[in-house]
Amino acid sequence: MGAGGVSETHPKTAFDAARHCDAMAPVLGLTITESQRLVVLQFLTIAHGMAEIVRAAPLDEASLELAPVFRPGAPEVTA
Amino acid sequence: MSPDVFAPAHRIAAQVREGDVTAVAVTEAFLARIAALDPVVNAFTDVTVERALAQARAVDNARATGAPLGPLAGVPFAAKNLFDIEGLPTRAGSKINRERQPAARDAVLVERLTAAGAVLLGGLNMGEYAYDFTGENAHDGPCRNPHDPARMAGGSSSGSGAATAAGFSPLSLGSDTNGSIRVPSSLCGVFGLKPSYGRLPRSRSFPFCDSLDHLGPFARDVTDLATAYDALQGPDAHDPACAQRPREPVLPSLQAGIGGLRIAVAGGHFATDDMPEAAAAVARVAQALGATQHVALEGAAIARAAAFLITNSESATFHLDRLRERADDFDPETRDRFLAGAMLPVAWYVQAQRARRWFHDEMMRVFADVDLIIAPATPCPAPLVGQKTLELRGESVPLRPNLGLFTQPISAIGLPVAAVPVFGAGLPIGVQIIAAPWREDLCLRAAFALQQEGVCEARAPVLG
Repeated sequence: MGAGGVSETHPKTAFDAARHCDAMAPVLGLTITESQRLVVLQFLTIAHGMAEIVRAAPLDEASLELAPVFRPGAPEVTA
Repeated sequence: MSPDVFAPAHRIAAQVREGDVTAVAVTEAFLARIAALDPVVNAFTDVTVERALAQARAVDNARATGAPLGPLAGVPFAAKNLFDIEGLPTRAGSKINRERQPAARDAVLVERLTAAGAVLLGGLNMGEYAYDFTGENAHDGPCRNPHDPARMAGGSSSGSGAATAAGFSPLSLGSDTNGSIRVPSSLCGVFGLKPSYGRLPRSRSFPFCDSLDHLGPFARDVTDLATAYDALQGPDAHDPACAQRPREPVLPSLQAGIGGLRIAVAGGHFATDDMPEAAAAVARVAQALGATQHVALEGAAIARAAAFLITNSESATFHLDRLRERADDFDPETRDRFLAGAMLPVAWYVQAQRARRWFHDEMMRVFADVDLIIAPATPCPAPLVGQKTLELRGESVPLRPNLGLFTQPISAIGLPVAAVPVFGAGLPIGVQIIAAPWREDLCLRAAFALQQEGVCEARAPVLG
């Protein structure tokens, strides 16, 4: 696999940006107007392409280190 | 003596300290230049005249009474308008945010420069909510490149790059999530430092993408950049991502040179085929630093894709209520990307975070054999304002996402980078000097050596 390529063991997933948008927008309470729709679908398609690249990363199957680490702090002291 | 607006900040501070010029005279000179020429550049969204003059008077009074002066005494600076500035709503380049209550207190980094004696001149233009590489803004107008106002300043810290280049402020503060310090540094021809992720606290700045947001300084001189960076360092309890490291000053080693450093040129994703200006700039820097080896950096495209997904998903979720209720009040250029980002599957986001860690671990192995990596900052010098596409390796691609082609994989894993300006026959273009985490000192040592050799410099533009 070349850097950024999609490997043969990870065939491309099917993605229909229009159907995805139609399903997800009401779930999120978003209204996508006709004037916005074309560009929104373009960006969903780009994001899917990025997801395909990332999906092909040769990850250790045991890795799940998400960057944001939550550290409980100390109570705030009020005067 | 009359103040020179293109003098390095450290020289201005020395002149104020020695009594050769007053801080008020310096501040008035910069305010006059901004009033005369910023209508061309559009770098500032707020000029805090009264505050600036009051701070300058305080510096002069401190000197008159023999009180100690900070390392940046009387040096003007400005801050991207996502930093809280007491008394101003923190607009973050948006229309919606200017309805916020005025900030009750400065951002921690503004406070730290002020504590060092620097004088705040105002807030700077930026791309809406920092989701931008161009410097265009539907609400405040495009920030223009001081070297050619028909061209972009680069974003999203557009005003920071432009104000620094234009002689409006010798120092500026900006933010960088995917390249927003390094892209405007490249296009405007100034030095910029994106420190390691977690180095500088982001407290009281308006967020974009928590996993990737960094803050850092711009300057026209490497000593100034290092002086500002040293003043900005230190832990702060109110940024959970802050690594809480003690200050590790870089000024003492700034002039140590590059002897003994193992320096390589990035290949693969960072190849500059059909990018003549970027290729020439990288070659000049590589030659000056004696870099002969190349590193492929396999996986950089995966890191870039991961950064794209993390940014798109986190930022859109952060703005979801605003997108639901006030989509028409967004800049259309950012709104439609946010709308798409809100709908990304969680599986894409989590996989992107896993891939980010994987690329980090790959790069840590590279740094076992290399101290510094040289890479282009942008594929090209400043495009024209309004330009929508970019010719990249023989293909016409959307300009907005691709100006960050070379910066995005590096910030994805939080590496420190100095962006250094190279002027060819025409417009400037930047080069990234990249180090292992927490080694900002090495980035700045190399930048200083390049400045000393005359390879990298921030030339004064002809304006007005």
